[in-house]
Amino acid sequence: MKRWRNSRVREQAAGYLFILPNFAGYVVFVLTPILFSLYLVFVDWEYLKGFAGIRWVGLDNFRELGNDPKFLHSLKNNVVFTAISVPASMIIGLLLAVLLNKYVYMRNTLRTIIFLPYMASLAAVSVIWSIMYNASSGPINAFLKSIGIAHPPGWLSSPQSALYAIIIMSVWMTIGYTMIIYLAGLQGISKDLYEAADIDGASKLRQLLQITVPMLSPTTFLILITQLIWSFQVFAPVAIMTQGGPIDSTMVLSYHIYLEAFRFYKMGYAAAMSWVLFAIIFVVTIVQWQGQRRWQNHF
Amino acid sequence: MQPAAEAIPTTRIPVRKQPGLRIAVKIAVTVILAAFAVLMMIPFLWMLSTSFKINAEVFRYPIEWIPKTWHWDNYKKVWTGPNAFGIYYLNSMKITSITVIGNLLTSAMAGFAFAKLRFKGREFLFLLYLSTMMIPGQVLLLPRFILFDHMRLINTHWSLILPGMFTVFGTFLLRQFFSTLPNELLEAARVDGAGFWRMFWQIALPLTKPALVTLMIITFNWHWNEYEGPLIFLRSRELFTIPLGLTTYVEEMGTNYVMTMAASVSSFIPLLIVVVIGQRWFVEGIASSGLKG
Amino acid sequence: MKRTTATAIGAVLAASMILGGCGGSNDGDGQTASSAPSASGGSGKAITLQFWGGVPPESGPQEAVDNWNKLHPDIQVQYTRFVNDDAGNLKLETALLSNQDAPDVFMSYSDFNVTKRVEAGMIEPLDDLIAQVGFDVDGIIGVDNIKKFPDGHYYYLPANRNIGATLINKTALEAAGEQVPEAWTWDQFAALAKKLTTGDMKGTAMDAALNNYGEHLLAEEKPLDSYIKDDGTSNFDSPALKQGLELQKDLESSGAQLSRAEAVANKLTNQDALLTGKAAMVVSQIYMLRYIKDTTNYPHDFQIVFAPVPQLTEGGNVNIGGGMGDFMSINKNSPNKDAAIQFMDWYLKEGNMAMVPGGRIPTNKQADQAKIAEMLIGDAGDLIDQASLQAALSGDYVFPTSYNVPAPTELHQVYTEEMEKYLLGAQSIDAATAALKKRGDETIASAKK
Repeated sequence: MKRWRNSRVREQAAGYLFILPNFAGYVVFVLTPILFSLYLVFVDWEYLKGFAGIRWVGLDNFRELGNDPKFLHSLKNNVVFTAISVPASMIIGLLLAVLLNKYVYMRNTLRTIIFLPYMASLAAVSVIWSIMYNASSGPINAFLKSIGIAHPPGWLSSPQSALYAIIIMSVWMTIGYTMIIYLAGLQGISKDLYEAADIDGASKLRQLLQITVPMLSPTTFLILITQLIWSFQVFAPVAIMTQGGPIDSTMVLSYHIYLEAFRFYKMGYAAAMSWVLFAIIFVVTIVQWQGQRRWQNHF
Repeated sequence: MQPAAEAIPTTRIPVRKQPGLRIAVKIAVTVILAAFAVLMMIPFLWMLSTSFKINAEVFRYPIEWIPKTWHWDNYKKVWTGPNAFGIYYLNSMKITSITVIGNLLTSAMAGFAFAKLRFKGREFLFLLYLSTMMIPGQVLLLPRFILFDHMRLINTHWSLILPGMFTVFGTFLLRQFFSTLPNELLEAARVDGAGFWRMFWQIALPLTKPALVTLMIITFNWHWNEYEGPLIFLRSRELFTIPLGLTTYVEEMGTNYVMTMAASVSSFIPLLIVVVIGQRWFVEGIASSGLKG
Repeated sequence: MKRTTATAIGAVLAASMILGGCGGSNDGDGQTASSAPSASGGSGKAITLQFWGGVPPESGPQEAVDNWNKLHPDIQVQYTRFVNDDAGNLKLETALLSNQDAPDVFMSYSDFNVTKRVEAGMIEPLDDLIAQVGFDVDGIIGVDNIKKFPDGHYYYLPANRNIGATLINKTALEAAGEQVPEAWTWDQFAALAKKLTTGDMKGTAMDAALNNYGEHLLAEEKPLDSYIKDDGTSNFDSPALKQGLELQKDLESSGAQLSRAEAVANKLTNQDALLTGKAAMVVSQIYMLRYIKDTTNYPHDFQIVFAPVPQLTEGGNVNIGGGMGDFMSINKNSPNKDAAIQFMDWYLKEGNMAMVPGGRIPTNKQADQAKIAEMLIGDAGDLIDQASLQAALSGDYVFPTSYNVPAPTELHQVYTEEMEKYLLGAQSIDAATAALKKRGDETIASAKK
């Protein structure tokens, strides 16, 4: 009896000791910043005056959000960016994965090549693409002109195309990721399903739509979530390629937060915006999760 | 990057019906995908070729993929002088390696405790972790800036290393993995008189290798390429990481495109080589995060 | 295979950790920078001043700082360059926001930037510090040359006296059969720009981060406080501003100048445009001399000839881009203000002579002008048309100033937004000027509250 209690006590102690390093760091570098940020949301802080510059403003920061056209605009840009880049990257990634999984030679080589952009840093990728996008003499427009398009888009220099230019780059970068995850998902689908379908005489396309896609839905959910979160936080390409321009056509939340905090020193307002970003990500995730469960129940 | 001639089919070809047609389809798809892969590589190839040119040649069209003369000077300039790239590599390697190892260790310990040790408050703490997992980096960035300012961590590598060492994501990932280990395994060790540290270090940890590899690659990729944190926390050139060093260099070079391309190549060709050599490792690491997360 | 790779990568990581650990052992404070040996031996620890400016170190600042450091072992100055564009100014301000390794002394390059920093509380009022070191403001710089802020304080001292000029590629000019313009208007400028446009070379170009024609013409119409009328309301409905906007649109759409949006996207600078043959002339300042002389980064063989800045009206004499620049300030949170003002005192009296070869003329009225002219040209006599440079240097100009504009930062922001919408075709010229006037008045009204 005593030994048993002893071992329970020892296990308790071990549990705390094992958690301690991580938990201590968690408190200092995650929990405290979060709580601090929750407080910031309700204040207006003249940062350079130190703690004396803090003034409680209640919900004013959130009210201001509704009247800030730049904020609404960046929200819209985030939505457009996500709504195009995520599905595009997923569809292309899925197709590549299906083809790579069964129908090719040199599978590893091809897989690695397509995967490479994902491992490169966004900073370097942004630098390369911003030069390739050069409107009057860059290689992309030179190519478009050579195939007979007289007025190719202005890419980063035109408010109509700048956001799409960044979207194209980000799709290019992320299809490697979606493809890899889908490939892993495909490994988990039993071969028997396809053999049965073959015997039934189902076409390859029907097999894709009726077996592969539904069976991959947990994978799809996972990619969707990670990509959504990633794309709502997109920062480096905007900071490096356009700084939100021309005329705010590429302004996104994360960059707007950065500007408000470090150009206009509105710490409270920037914090409020960052929580809106969190709320969006959170809601989208929950909705996806619910949707996925209902969707799966149908099959 | 040339397609290898001796292609090894990696999936079984069902030989039941029309093997000839199957092979034809396979060849056709291979060709199409190879073309696609080349398309994917164009930005890199263009960068590489541009980095050896002089500025007057950059925008010539049709593109001269092979420079007429190879201007190695561009690289000499990037790697020597007061703002040589070497220091950025040292900084990135230091930050990334300490962060990755630290994160693996603290996450594994905490993940093990959450999964396999019974102690008061475990559920509460885990719920606390879970509830903060979805919070994006932007929320943390500002308060961290203010906090680090008071902790005098701004403009030190610790401002990047410390937050990276204690992650909720890592703890969660490894906790999920440890949970799948059968309890009997640990009980047996306990009967043999093993302490908790030995159970963790000698039994559980070796079995977790795939998950550790996954976490290692994800955190490596993240910290090696991170841009926003260094941009905000670092001031001194000699502390810059590769992405920040690169963009600073690019801003100063303006439209001197050959130099910006030489710098870009310098910033990630070494990583590219590592990825190509360890491709299985990287690919599987990332893929299995997909299945567990 | 798999195992070997894993081990290899592990080994690389481990090695890098050891390497990194050594290399970074002195990270943390830049304060301890052990590389600067303290010659004074036992005199206690040396103060390190962080000095931020927009000029590349090799174009003068490093030499200036080295000269100072040799004379003052107890106050070591470290120079950091930021690029004077939006992203670079943002980095400077992020640095000013924290207490650690923040700049002690820094440069602002425009009235709206320095005003913004004063309003944010980033800058220390200088009056007491000036008195402390006995700096003779009027005798050295001249009180008329410095803005007194509404609270009656000085917040910066200018270190550079700019002179604006039109820099023209002489080879292109001669090929077009044109003479060097002497006194000219913007209409004549536009005509020449179109004439000089050939093939890959545009007639003119503009660094979008620094310049635009609307503000140029506005400042020529009203050199004092161009943003406001005499009655204090917004001057954004001025016909001169409208003419400037239309001039820019005309030059862009006729192909004589790269569009502003593209110049932003390509990060085009005046020196890139002129010296790599992308444009035949630029309206800029004589700081361009530093790039003309830098044949390593800008290899070229044509001469640059200097013409006056085009004028709104014939016989005008306003020198756009000229006047006081390099506004030197001290960080309000700097722990080393005494050392900082000593450094500024020295820099403004003699230190900034090291900047002359880089194309920056000291504000010190007592500096040797003949020597300055000689240093400006240096050994690049064959790349510079010397007679025209001398003429530009010795001209008698009216310099625009903007000492009494309320909220210059916000007004500049309003102007930039509406201008971009107009240039990108998102609104007509009339809509633009109407919006400018309306928003300008609103901005001024809310600033006065």
